[in-house]
Amino acid sequence: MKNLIIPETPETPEINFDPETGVLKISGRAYSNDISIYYKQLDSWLEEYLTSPKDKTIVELHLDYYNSIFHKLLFNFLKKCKAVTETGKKLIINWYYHHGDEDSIDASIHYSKTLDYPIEKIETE
Amino acid sequence: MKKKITYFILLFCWGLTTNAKINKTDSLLSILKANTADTTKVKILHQLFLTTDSVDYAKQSLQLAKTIQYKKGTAQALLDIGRYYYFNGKQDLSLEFLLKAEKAAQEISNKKILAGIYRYIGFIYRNNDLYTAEEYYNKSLKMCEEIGDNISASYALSAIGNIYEGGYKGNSKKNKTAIDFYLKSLEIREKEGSYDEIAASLNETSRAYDQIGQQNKALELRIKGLKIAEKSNSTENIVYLSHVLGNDYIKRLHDLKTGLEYQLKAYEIGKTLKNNYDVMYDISKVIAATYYSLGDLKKSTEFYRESQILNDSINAIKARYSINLSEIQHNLVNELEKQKLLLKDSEILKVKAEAEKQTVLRNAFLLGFSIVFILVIIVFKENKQKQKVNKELDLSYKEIETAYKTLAISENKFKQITETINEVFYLYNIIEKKYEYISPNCETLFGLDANYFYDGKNTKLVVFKDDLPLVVNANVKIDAGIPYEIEYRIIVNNDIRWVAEKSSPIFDETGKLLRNSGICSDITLRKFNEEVLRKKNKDITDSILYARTIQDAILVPKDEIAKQLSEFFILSKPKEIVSGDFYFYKETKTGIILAAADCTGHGVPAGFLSMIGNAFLNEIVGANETISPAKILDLLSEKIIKSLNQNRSDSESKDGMDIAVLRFDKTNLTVQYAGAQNSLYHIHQGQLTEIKADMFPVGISDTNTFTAFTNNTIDLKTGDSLYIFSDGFHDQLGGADGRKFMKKNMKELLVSIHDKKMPEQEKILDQTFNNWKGRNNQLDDVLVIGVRV
Repeated sequence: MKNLIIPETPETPEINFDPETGVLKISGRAYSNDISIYYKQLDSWLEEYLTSPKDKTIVELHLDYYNSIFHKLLFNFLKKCKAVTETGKKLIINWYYHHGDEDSIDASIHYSKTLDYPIEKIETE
Repeated sequence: MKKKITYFILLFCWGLTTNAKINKTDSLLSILKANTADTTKVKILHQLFLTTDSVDYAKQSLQLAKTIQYKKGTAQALLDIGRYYYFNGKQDLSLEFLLKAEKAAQEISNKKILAGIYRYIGFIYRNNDLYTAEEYYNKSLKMCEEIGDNISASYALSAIGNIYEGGYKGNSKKNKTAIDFYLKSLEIREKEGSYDEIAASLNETSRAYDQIGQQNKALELRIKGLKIAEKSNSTENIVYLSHVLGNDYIKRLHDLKTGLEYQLKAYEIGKTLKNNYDVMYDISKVIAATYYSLGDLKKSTEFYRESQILNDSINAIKARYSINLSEIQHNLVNELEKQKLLLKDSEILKVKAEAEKQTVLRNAFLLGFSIVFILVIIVFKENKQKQKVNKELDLSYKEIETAYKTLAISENKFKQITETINEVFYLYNIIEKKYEYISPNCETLFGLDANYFYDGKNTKLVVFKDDLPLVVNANVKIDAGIPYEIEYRIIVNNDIRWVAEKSSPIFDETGKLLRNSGICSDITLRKFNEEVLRKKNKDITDSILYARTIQDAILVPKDEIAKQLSEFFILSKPKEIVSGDFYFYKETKTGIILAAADCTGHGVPAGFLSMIGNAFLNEIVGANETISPAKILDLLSEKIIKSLNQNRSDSESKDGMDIAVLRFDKTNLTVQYAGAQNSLYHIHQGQLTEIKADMFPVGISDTNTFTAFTNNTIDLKTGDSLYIFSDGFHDQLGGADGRKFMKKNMKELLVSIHDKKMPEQEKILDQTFNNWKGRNNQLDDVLVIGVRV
């Protein structure tokens, strides 16, 4: 199974999913209005990965900014990732935020609550 | 004795001038008459044969010589007759006499005569028995060597060389031997021979060198031959050699300049010769081709045309030639007969005549013999020359034909390109200020045919007057060696067309500006499409602007609000024209509702949502004037979910709203607040308190359960300020690292300005936002509302 690598653009984040290490990384900004491509790509990759996931899947989120449209995508993405735990495999979600960015912290709390799954908050500078 | 002296003097004066001949003949005849039958008479008759080429004299000589038992005379006369028949094509008869001559000469061991006899026998065998021919040539050579007659030896050597050259074909060793013989012959002739003899030797040797591939040696010899031809004013040879040398330089050495010089010399001198069409045709064709290669198209065309004219003449002549030849032969025979008769008469007349009669006869002889003699020599020479030249003509003609075929093919390719490509392309000579080339489709694009441009004019005539300065400016640029790309209009047949022209300068090796190349395309359609697109864009923008005015119209004007809230500001910075953020204000009997809302996304879609939101809020508050903010949100959420069918899992849009709602009661001592995602900041005496909103938006539910919004009541003291806003302000990326402004910083900022007047606070917020944003794009609509109680 191949890596999913989508390079960063000014309006969309970088996607780097590695099926070998189980690390799924999203980083950058997301405020494009047209992310239908993302939906499809992430979706289909995830589906394939989930047929034989690693023992430990790590989701790394380094998001400087994202709009409400991306928020939808992200939430659905995390929900799907959570499905991994149903087969007894592990899932770790790491949420990186800049020092002092309360919104980011709050958002991660909100996601965690809604998802009903712990999210690690990691401060970066 | 007297007779003998006269005889020798006459011999000494013997030359090729017919006058001398005629004089000589006169004298000979007179001597003849005065002579009795003796050896002198035999000799005179021999001389007469040589000058008149009339075989009768030879026969008479033979007769007499036999009678008086003059063996030398017999041998000589037999040789003469043998030679005569050889030159007249009667080879069998010739051989007969030559063999008789041989016997006679051998009897008296006259080596000189034998040399001649052997050579001629060799000539006869030359055609079909090379070995025997060589044998006889060698015999002749031996004789010459024994008597030390070098010139005759040179003839023998040439003859042997000739056998080796052409006789034993395909054997280059034999060809080398041919050269050896030719060189020996040349050596002798350079010392003792006449110009013609040297020239002949040079010619045959160079030909042989050609055949063994030593073209450089051949070139050397031909140059020598040309010098000799010039010295002896042998015009035909000058032309021929110049032409051959020219070809060598051009085709083999690729030295076009030198070759062209030679060819031009050949051409100039060749013009003075008559009936030289074949050679002139070849010469002019080669010159045309050479000029073409050198890039001189004008001269090339000149000479090409010349060659075509010559070609026509040649074809005309060839048609007549076959008839002519037989005519000439016929004339010859007649002349010969005439002269025989004339001679007999003149003998009698000569003896009696005064000077006048002699002159008349002499002229008659002059005419007669000169015609006869010259015709014979000329025809003979021409025949040989023609054969040789024809062969070489064929070769060079084929070469030039191929060159012109290739030229025609590439011209055809070029024509295909120019006829199918729509763009006009050109070469413009900057120094001469005119077009060197412009493709024929210029007529389609500009309505001006190529000749118009070649005459030195340009497109300014058809350029639309408003665009003329642009075109003039471009010309200035190109004169300075700067390339340009411009678009301008032209008027053709009362139609306006758009032309895109791109031009590049061309420099020579020294960097001097020579010309520029350019290409013009008709972009009328593209311009038209651009215009259509521009108009569509404008239409769309216009309608969006109109939508904006509608949106604005729905919002309660600020001066209305000012009536109830004395101190407030509303900072609104939409990302695009239509905003997804909106403020809501409604005055009720029991209080004032003020809300800051942020619909999903931005631009026109969010704008739609904002209208719906506004309408719903109006409805909700209108239906229940005492309604609390939390309840407003509950109802709003319900309404949005229902009307946008958001409860269906398959619904495409899950759009919603972040919103903060405030309710001021009449006393202004408390304020109720409920928020979806958007918090409230309350500053009291410089202290900021954040009242957090519920962490889910209005309209969309991430879960399937419905959660009610929380209603908060906050006590207020006079002078307190309240702020509600959308996330557009604190989420804006900017600063040095492109980070979010962050709530933390927004709080700090508000605290620092909270005591300023409201309008001032708005200004500061606006400026701070702009500074933070810097060069980054605005990410979302911005809405900040501040109220002081």
